[in-house]
Amino acid sequence: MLILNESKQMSGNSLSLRPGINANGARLSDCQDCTQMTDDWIDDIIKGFKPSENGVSLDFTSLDQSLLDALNLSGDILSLFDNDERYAVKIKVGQTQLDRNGNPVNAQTGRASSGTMSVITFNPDYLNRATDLAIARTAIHELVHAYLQYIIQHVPNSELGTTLDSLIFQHNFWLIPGEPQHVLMAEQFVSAIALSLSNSDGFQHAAIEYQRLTWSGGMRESATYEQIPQGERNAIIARDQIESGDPRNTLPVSPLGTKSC
Amino acid sequence: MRILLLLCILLISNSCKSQQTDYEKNVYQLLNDAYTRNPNVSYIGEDAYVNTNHSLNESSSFLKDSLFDRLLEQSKWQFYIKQDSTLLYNKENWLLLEPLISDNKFDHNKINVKNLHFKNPDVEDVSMHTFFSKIDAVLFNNEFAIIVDNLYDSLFVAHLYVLKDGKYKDIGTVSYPPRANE
Repeated sequence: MLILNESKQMSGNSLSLRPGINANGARLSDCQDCTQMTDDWIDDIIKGFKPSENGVSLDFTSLDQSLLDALNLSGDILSLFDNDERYAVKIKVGQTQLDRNGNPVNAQTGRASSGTMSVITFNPDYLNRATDLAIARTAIHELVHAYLQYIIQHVPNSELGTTLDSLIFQHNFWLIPGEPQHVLMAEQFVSAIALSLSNSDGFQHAAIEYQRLTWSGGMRESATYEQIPQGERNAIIARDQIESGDPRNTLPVSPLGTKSC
Repeated sequence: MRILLLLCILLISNSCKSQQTDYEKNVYQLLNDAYTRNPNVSYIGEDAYVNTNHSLNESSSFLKDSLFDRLLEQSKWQFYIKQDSTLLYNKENWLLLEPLISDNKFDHNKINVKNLHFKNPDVEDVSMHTFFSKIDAVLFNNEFAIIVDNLYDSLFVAHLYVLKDGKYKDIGTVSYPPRANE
């Protein structure tokens, strides 16, 4: 595993970015006083993801009960990368691509051209305004993307890889809505993401709130999401708006998490 | 001549009444389907609390809202929309079934979903409900339907449905403010 965040990234690697600082050394955030806090913030959140205590990373390549019950999804994924010299994940802060509404995505996961590394990029503005809960949710979401990229590269014939291949096929023929990785996450990973988020947060809040936060980004364009009753989908969108610190938010509901600044 | 005139008035009156009835009937079927929990989905969430008062007679104003265009744009990959895109993008088609409803309050007796509760904030305390919504608009266009929700005049959510096998099925949701992707 290679996490190039504050503690490891000053290696001279051109891809290594200090959180809040772009490749030219310029600050990416308007919230300059908060930059150092944001550095610590994302560092602490990622370090807070612990692997399962038995010391053995769970095998999520089989879509069985162990995935549904997973309490340490993000920690186990990080542990997997840590133990596999063929693959690494790099975490950085920087500009992210724009979505269809012209707004930067909260975070994105790409794959280095070598095919041996996933690169997770967090948008600095998102880190400055979102609560720790929202950021942890996003971090787990992106780590699942990294894991799926790893599966495609190294374990293509697993049950997980085969399911993903099938979804890609169906998506290409317009048979299912949503981007395939998000569809797979909506179908198979909701429970594990929600449980792992609860676990990393010490189960401070009602389980339903962690589940709501789990439905993020492209997962909300899946057929699975569309089967959730309308009232609950409204609650999912509202909770996301509150925890993401959207500057346009005026909902009279307090965030569950805390902000870095 | 007078008899003919009276007959015409009676026919027109009955026609309007029939259309209003059709709209109301569709509204309640849509609401019942939209809020029903799917037994095949493990994640069902909590009960929904909705304002009894509505403004459905003003539903046509939604067609001027940018959310309408975004809703169709986001959902356009859908097979159903690919088949009927011209039909859907023509705003006049959304008014063929005129949004007319006799009462400005929802009739609880026409709702058969246990997890959907209508509350009147004018006479009931709704402060214990974290997310309380109001339905601003409902429109129909052949087998398609739109519901627009409003949470505290702060968050607006539009849902697109299609009637399939006798049930309305959600095929797209957009909100203002829009939610970022990840």
